[in-house]
Amino acid sequence: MKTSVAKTASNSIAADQDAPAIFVKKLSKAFGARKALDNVSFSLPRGSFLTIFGHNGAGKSTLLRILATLARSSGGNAEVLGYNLVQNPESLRAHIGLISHKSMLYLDLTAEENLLIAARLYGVGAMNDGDSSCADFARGNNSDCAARVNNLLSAVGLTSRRHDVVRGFSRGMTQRLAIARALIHNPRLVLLDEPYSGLDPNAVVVLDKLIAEVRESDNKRTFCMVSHDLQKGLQMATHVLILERGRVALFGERASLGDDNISKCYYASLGIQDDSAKFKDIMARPQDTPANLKGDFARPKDTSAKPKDTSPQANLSAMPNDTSVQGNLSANNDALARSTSQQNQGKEALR
Amino acid sequence: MSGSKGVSAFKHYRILLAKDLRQEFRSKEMLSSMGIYSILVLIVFGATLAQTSAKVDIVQMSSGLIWALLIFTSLLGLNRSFAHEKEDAALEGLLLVPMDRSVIYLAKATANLLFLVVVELIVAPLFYVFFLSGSELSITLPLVVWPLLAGTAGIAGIGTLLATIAINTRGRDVLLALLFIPLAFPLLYACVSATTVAVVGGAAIDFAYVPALALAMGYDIVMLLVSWLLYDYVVSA
Amino acid sequence: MKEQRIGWGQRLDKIMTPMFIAGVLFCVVAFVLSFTLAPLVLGAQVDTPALIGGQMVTNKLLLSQKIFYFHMPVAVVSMASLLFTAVYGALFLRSRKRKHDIRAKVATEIALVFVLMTMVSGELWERFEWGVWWTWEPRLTTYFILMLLVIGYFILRNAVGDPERRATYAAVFGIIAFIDVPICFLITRLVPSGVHPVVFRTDSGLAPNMLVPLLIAMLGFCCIAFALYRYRLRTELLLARTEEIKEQLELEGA
Repeated sequence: MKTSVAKTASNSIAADQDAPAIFVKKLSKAFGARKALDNVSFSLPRGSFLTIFGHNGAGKSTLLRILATLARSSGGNAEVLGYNLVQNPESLRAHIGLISHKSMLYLDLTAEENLLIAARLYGVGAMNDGDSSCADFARGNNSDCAARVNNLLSAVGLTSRRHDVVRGFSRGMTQRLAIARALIHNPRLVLLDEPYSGLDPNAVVVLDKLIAEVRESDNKRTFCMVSHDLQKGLQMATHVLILERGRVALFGERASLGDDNISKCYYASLGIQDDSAKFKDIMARPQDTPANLKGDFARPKDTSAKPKDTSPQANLSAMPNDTSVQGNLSANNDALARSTSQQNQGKEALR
Repeated sequence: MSGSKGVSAFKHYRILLAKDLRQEFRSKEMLSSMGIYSILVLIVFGATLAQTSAKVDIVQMSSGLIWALLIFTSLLGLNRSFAHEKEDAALEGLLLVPMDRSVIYLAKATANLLFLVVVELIVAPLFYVFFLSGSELSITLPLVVWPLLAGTAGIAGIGTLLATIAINTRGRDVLLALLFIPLAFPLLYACVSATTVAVVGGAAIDFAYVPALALAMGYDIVMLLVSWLLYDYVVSA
Repeated sequence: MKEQRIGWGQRLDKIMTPMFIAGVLFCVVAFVLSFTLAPLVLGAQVDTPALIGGQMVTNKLLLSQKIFYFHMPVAVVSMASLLFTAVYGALFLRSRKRKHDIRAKVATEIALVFVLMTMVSGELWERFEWGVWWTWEPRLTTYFILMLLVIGYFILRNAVGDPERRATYAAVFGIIAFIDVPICFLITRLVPSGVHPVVFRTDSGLAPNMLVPLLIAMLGFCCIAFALYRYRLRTELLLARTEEIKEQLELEGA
């Protein structure tokens, strides 16, 4: 079987080009009394960016894990990229990438080794089945596999750290490498499970930029993100899904729904009064600069219900002032500089 | 069953096995802990047998002792064998790859088997020096290799499945021992019997060695087969 | 489909109490018969004389042999329950239905009760027949291991938080643990030990007057085990139902 990635990819695109990226009908997940998902139905066109909001335990992560084939549904029907989730999970796995708050990396291996293992497992550049032994990570510079790894490493700005063991990486660097790992097989659906949790503000900016780049690189690529954070979640969303106790509270295109409705439903799903004035305030702010990240997010003071939300805030309030954040970014964060200087190469890699 | 992009199951197996070996080569976590632990057990044996050595037939006892050592040492290693996979959810990353999931089992079991064999290669000569150098051993001594190999393969096979279960439980170290030792018992029983016969020699070699070894291998085959079949359920849960 | 299942269950629930009573009666009959019908002298009837009768024949020794009519059926029932554990485990892995998990769990609970009864009766036997509390005899050892596996099953269940994962692990472990059952059952055939006789065989190991109380006792214990199983299962299913209703109410109340 000497099929190249590109070839297989184009073949299967032809087969299911018209199918929506995600088609979910009456999907439910229950074991015993607890229903994690209850009659969830929606359909997402290709190339869109869906953000899933919801309370803790509303079923966001369960839904994402089912879409990622990591969990199985107990009822209903789901097709992702035209593949049936129950009947054909294995074929689907070749086309999805998952970025979660856990990196899925081996911490005792180097950045390059991690990517090479992933590339080989996915069969990236599997042209020469015979001699591309997995034992020789260093060898085989000419293969597609190594080229892909090189490109991705430069795209996430880790070329200079490629031979370093992941254990020594900062949280942000680890997350960047995790993104490279998730994109190694050029997935057509990218699933993000709270990718921002635990990141410091610099890393958040870099991550934003990376996701934006990945998005630009292919306008047919679909994204699906679970988020706790209204601002971060809406920043890139074209579609919004709000889950409440495993049921769909709101689904639709962001533009047609209108931010007011979204915020109303969002706060209602949290069981808190609508706070649309503050919400507008958030959305009105310019984005993508670390400075405005510092502002107190207009978030309900319901910290006990959503403990995860507090961590970025805590990080932010620890910063002395705006300028130090910016100084920090420009002076120390070589990664950002690198990722911009190597943008061309990077974009190519993400494609 | 192979991946959708033409990566064969065997290639997946090689990649995963190489990954485990490289990781161990880098961190030396399992080998060093198992190696030191087994030497400590030898020292404990030395102390506990110090008062009895005049009376006890050490040759007759030796294979039992070495199997006690191997069982406890392997528990230590098996507990650690999934530490890297769990640490940053790397196992989940493997589940996302389009491949036959029982390959994960085979690769991990092979890696555990190799590590245990390395430990045995260190321990066996030491055991000889410490306890058996003064005794006369049977000429059939080389035959211990087969029960050792059959036992180690079974330990790695059953242990890998149970270790996968144990990583997602509370109090996993104790739980692994609790599930592993009873399950490995028939194997242990057969292996001790075959090893003893090989060490002691005599007439028993003719009628007792082969049945015991056959029992051990039969148990290995059944257990490995069942574990291999059930592994997908365990690792996906 | 669901209604049908409940209908079946109701029918079985109706007969479980009579079944329990019948089981107890059978056991009482077997108990009486074991003293009246079964002869005291054993050595001649069991055709491996070395095992019981081969040792000194005293009054005490012969009476304690009555434990056998209790010990052996209980042991067989415990192994049969474990078969149900494995079967329901396999059914669960295929269907992912919680009802199979509940049944596997209840079957293992029954198995645990009967395993403990076997161990206790076996211990009494050992003490009075052989004069020791413990011996590393193959069947005894494998059965002891079986007990540890059953206990391990419940410890494993308690150690897993997520219900679906718990059910999966328990099912897998139940299946693997079951491998020890045939080993335990066959070990007296594979490794002749001289302590446990091979009871079931073609060349009639037991004289009819000993076999009759034994079979009646076995029938009795099977009835008791099944009735207990249904009692426990009904409780568990009702508990699950209650949980479901609670969840429903909570959902509608919100």
